[in-house]
Order: sequence, then C-alpha cells, then structure tokens
Amino acid sequence: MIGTIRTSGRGGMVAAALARTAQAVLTALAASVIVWALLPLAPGDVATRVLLARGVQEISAAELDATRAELGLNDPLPVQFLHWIGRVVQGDLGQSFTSQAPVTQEILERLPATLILLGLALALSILLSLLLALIAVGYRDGWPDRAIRLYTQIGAALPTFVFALLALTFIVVGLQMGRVLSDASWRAALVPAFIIGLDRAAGWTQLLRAGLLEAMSSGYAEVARARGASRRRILLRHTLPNTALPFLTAIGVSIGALIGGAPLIEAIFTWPGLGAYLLEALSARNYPVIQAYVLIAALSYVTAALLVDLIALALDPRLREPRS
Amino acid sequence: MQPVLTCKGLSVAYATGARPVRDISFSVAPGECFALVGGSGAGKSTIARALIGLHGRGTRIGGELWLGGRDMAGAGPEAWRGVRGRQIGFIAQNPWSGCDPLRPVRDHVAEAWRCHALPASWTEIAARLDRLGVAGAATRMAQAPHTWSGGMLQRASIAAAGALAPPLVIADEPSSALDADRAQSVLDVLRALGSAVLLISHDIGLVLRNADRIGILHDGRLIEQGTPDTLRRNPQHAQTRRLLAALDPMPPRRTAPLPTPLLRLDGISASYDRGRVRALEATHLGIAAGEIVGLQGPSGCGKSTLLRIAMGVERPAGGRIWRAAALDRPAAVLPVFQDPVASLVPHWPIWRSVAEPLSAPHLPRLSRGARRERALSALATVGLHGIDPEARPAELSVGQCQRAAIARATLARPALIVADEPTSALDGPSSWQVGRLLREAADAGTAVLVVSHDTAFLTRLADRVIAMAPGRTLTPGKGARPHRAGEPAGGIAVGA
Repeated sequence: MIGTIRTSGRGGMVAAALARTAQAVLTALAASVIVWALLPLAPGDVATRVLLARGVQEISAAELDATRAELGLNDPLPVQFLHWIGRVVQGDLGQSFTSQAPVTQEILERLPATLILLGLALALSILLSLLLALIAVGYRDGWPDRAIRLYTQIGAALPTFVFALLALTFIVVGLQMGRVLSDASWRAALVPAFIIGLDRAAGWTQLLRAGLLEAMSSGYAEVARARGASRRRILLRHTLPNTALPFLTAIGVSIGALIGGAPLIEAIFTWPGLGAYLLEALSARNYPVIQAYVLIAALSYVTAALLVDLIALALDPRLREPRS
Repeated sequence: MQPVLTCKGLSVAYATGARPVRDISFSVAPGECFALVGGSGAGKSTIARALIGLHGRGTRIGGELWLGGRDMAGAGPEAWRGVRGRQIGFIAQNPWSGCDPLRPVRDHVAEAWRCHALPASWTEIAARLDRLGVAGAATRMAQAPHTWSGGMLQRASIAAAGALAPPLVIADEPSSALDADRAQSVLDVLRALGSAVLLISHDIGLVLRNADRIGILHDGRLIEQGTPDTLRRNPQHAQTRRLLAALDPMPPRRTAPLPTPLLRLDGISASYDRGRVRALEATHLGIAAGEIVGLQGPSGCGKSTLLRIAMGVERPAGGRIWRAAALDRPAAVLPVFQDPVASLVPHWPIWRSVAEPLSAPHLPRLSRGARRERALSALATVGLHGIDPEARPAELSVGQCQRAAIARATLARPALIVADEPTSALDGPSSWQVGRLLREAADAGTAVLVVSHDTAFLTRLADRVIAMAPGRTLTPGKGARPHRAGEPAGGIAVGA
C-alpha cells in the first residue's frame, strides 16, 4: 500500500460537536456570573434602592433588615449567585424596581416585537448579501458589480443610525411607504427591517464578494473549470460553500451587535420592543431589567456562535479531525 | 495518424503587453508523451493554461492551436467548455489544492461527468480508482481529500482527467508535490491511461525517463525538440546543455577534509509541545572541517530541530555537545535558508545583504566602499557578476537570490554553514549551481551541514548522508570521523 489514509468517521463529528457545546455552556455560565455581578457591584445599597423603588420614603432599620432577608442579601455572595441562577433557570428574572411587576412578564410582552423586527432584518440581510455578492461576482467589473461595490462602501462607512435616518426619510417620508409610528406587526416591520438589513448587508456583501473572488481563483476552481464546469456551477457548488464559513462566522458575531444595537434602532423607528424598554430602564437605573436584557443578549450571542460552529462542523470535514 | 494537438506559431500576450510565450510550434501524436521542460520563468505554465483555455481575461492567444480538428486560438468560453474534459484532460500540480476541500474524493472524480450533465456512477468510479492502484477505493473515496496521501489523491485526479477518455491529457508538474518514488509511480499510472500526455516539468531527469519526445523551453520560446536520446547525445542549444548539466555529478572534492573535528553531538534528545512529542532521541552527529554531511528524512523527523541544536540556537533536552573553539567566535556558524528571497532584506540593495557578515563585531571596521568591493567580488565568485549590485531581492530570480545568500554565508569564512532545504525552491540548473557552491565552500575548509528531501541531490553532493527516522537517526554518524579517500559518497547503512 502506498500512503496512509486516516479515518475520520461520524465519531469525530459527534465528539467535536459535544466539545463545542460544552464550550458554549461554559461561556454562557461565565457570562451569567458577570451579568449577575451587575447588581452587587452597582453603587449604593441594594435593599435601600429596592425600598426607594417601592415608594417607601422613610426607610427604617427594621424595614431594611426585612428587605435584606427577603432578597437574601445576608447570604454569602456565591450562595446569592446560586439562588439567582436557580430562579433564572425557572424563568424568574426578578422584579422591576419601577413597576414592581415581574421582569419576565414585562420582557415577554415586548419580546415578540423585537424578535419580529430583528429576525426579519437578519433574514433580509443574509438574503441581500448572498444575492448581491453572487451578482457582483457573476458580473465581475461590469456595471452591476461597480454599483454593488459603491453601495457596500457607503453602507460600511455610515454608522447604522445615520444610514437608518437617511433611509427612513427617503423611504417613509419621501416615497410614502411604511409608517413612522409602528404597531409591531409583520407588515409594519417590513420597511424598518429592510433598512436595517440593507445596512448590515453592506459589510457582509463585501466579505462574501472578496471571499468568492478568492475562491474562484483557487486550485479546485481552476481544476473544475478545466473539467468543463460552467462558471455558475463552480460558483454555486464549490466556491459558495467554501466561502460560507467566514461568512457564517461574521453573521454569528454580528448577532450580538444586532441585539446590542436594538435600543438605537427601535428608538429611530419608534418600535415598541425590548430596546425601548431597556432605554427606560437605563435612565431609571432599573438594574433587574438591565440585567435581564444583558443576559438575553449574551445568551443569544452564545447560541448563535454555537449554531455557527455546528454548521461549520457539518460543512467542513477538516474541522472534525481531533486536534493534535 | 492525425495529431491530437498541433500548435503553429502559438504566442500568448498579456493585457500589459508582455509576451511570455512566443512563436511556439509542436504537435502531439495520439498516445505519445510529449514533454515541455524548462527552468522557472520559461513559460511552461502559461502554455499549459493557454492550451486548455484557462488564460485570464485580456490575455490574447496568437497563431494556431488545433485540437480535435478545430483551431481553438480565438475560441470563446462556450467552445472551450465543450472541449475541456472531452478533448483534453487536466492534472494540476498540487493534488490537495486541486480538490474542493469540503467534498469527498468521489465527488471530485464524479465532477468530470456531472459538469457535462452526464450521470456518474459510484461503482464505476470505485472500479476506475481500483484500476489506478487505490486500494479499498469503494470505502476510501467517501473520505475527505485532506485525509488522502498525495500519491493516492493524484491518482484520483488522473481518474477524473481520464473520465471521458480524452485523446490528450495535460499534466502540469503532476509529481512535483510528491516524493521521488511516488512521483514515478504516478507518472506510470498517467501513461497507463492510454491518452496522449503533454507533460510540463522543470525536472529534466524525470522528463528524460518518461517522455517519448521533449521540447526545451527557454524565455518563452521552444528552442529545441527531440527524443530523449538525441537530446542527451547531441544537445544543440546552450540552454539544453545547461539543463542536462543538472544531471551531472557534483564536482569532486579537491582537498581532503581536515582531520579536525568541529562539532560532535552525542546522544542528543529533544522534544517539543511541552515534552509530549519527542523530536530527537539518542541522536549522534559529528562533522569535521571541510566535510559535507547530508541529513535526510521524512517531514517531522526532527531534521530542523537537529540543525538548530547544531547551530547552537536551541538547547537539547539531553545529551552532550562538543564544540571546537573555532565555533565560538562571532559569525562562525551561518545559515542558508529554504526561501532565499525571504532570507534577504527586501529593501536593501543585494550587495548590502551580501556584505552584512563583514560588520560582525570581531572584524575590523571597513568603509562602505570597501564592503561594497568585497561584496561584488563575492557575488562574482557565485557567478553573479552580471547582475546590478543595487538590485533588490524581488528584482532577482529565486536561484540568483539563493546564490547571493550563499555568497553572504561564505564571505565571512564561517567554520560551519547550515543549509535547510537550500534547493527546494529552485529548478534543476539552479540547484546544481547551489550544490557546486557548497562544495567550493567545503573545499575552502568550511564544514557544511545540509538538510534536503531530495535524495538524489544529497547523495551527489554530500560526503556522508545520514538518514533520519522519526525521533532518532537510523544510521548513527560516527562522530567527527575523518573522510577516507575512495569511500563512496552516500548513506552508510548501519542498522538502528
């Protein structure tokens, strides 16, 4: 026998997937410690702030003690963390300092609006960047490519909110499409989601276009061409899957940014979602709400990154090798 | 019989106006192996790409290019697409980069049918791979390309190139990514395909062994054609003689090595990755002044680690090192690297890189003019008197850069030159010149330690060749043993 051939079967895939999942769980745990620490690290006494938030003007020592006992603030910090995470796992994110209502309930009321807007924006931006990058590469150096390159440069250079304001003025006010005041329906989400998507897609299109062009001049693309494959076949069957990995990673990373940027976006489109809720909480120093929002953002990011990792594992056999 | 390929006055012109290939005429008969051979920059790959229509946009093809009864010189993309795979098969130099890394090997072969909208059958592909010497093809072909060895994967590429039984297969350096013994078996498999083969190579030895007829390329022109026999016996062109000279043995040593041991490593062990991987175990190496010792072995056997220990830049984990006093002065040990262009300072004129060892602290200070003079004479001794001494490395060829690097290494009269794969980036004639220069350095009294994967080069150059297996030397060097006259150069087969 000449040469050796290593085996890389399904076992490698399962082991690698388990390792990535374990890593993600650890990351989520570390993130939750930091998120929890927001409250004990916040300036001032927690019990006092809770009482003030409840409208108690004159705080007596007895009331303070009772509240401390109620909130479990006399326990050592690790025990407090365990209690907190135990409640979080059961869906209890604490009480809002301002409204006294459970934070979970308030979030659940606003979550669908944000999910609709961000989900639609994400889907549109992925579709847009895929389409535009494929067109740009298909008509390389022709006018479609040049127009797309101009768009990606403008989109990448402008901050999201400037881009969104300009687009809003042009589309909603100028073209009389969509509404300035929104009611969180799918219909109402379409125009803002398209604007956010257009902004997001600029960077991704650039990335994907550059990756596709590089892959088109790779050895395997040349060999496929020498076998008689058409340009379209090489683009869709070989170079697109090979470029998908860095593209997916970029999408995974920016999901965190998307959620972090939601307050600004929702403020611009007067969207009644979580972002607006966070802005209120920030100005009122409503720590349980801030905590809950940061926790959701962190967990979404970890989940997105894990998903990207798993897709990459399924796509690329080289990632399934045990590391030497 | 009608030739499968005929070129008449073929030329290739880039959009920039450069014409890397000019007025090439040759033809390939059915079933024959015609080889185009030449040094780097001769235009080999440009021709290979033009013959299959893969020249870039803006590149113009002049003259006639007859393939299957049709002149393809001005053909458009669709016409080329019909010809590729059916009239011409193609085999790329590097089998791994030629395969889509995300898809199993069988898809790589099946693509030959599918991209012409023909059905591909797994059993047929497995049978073909089996015939080309891939054992267990039916199960292995479902694996990813990176898990295959180069020789096996190149067989899969041959299966793909021959899938539609094209009358001609173009193979661009098909074996240069492989070890010497695997290279020959891949070429045998290629010939067994039955198609005519246009073999593109820089390796005159390989071409002489395998081709029926050979065309010598130089500077974009086909300067000579003939059978291996006529070319070897009666080369017409100076460039052909230069290529053939690469097959000559190195000049014999003029002076016997001095019986002075210079460096002795006894029972050296080394490990990396925090002690988990043993690079060297109980390794012996000795070298005397004026001696050339070759180190040879598979990648990962610890050759480079041993070199670094010999140079004194890495400490071994165990063992004893004995160094002669001559090694303790500054610039006593000088390296020659694998990538010559990267080993020279990119923004310095070449003379300044060559003169650098003259600035070693133990030497008397020389004026800039004096250093330049010394550098120019050093460049002349390595045959570079013709080049502009103010040129930057990027303006020189890779072979010229390596010769300049050797001029730099010898200028300071070091006690030991350590060369790590000094010829792997070079074509045949340049490798031969580098070998000759190392031999001259040894004759002048410098000990030379050379690592190379090119067995033929090492056996022709070195006084002794030490074969290394992973973790230890298989044939322990016997310390600084003086060379005995009449002893054949080459490996000393001592059991482990």
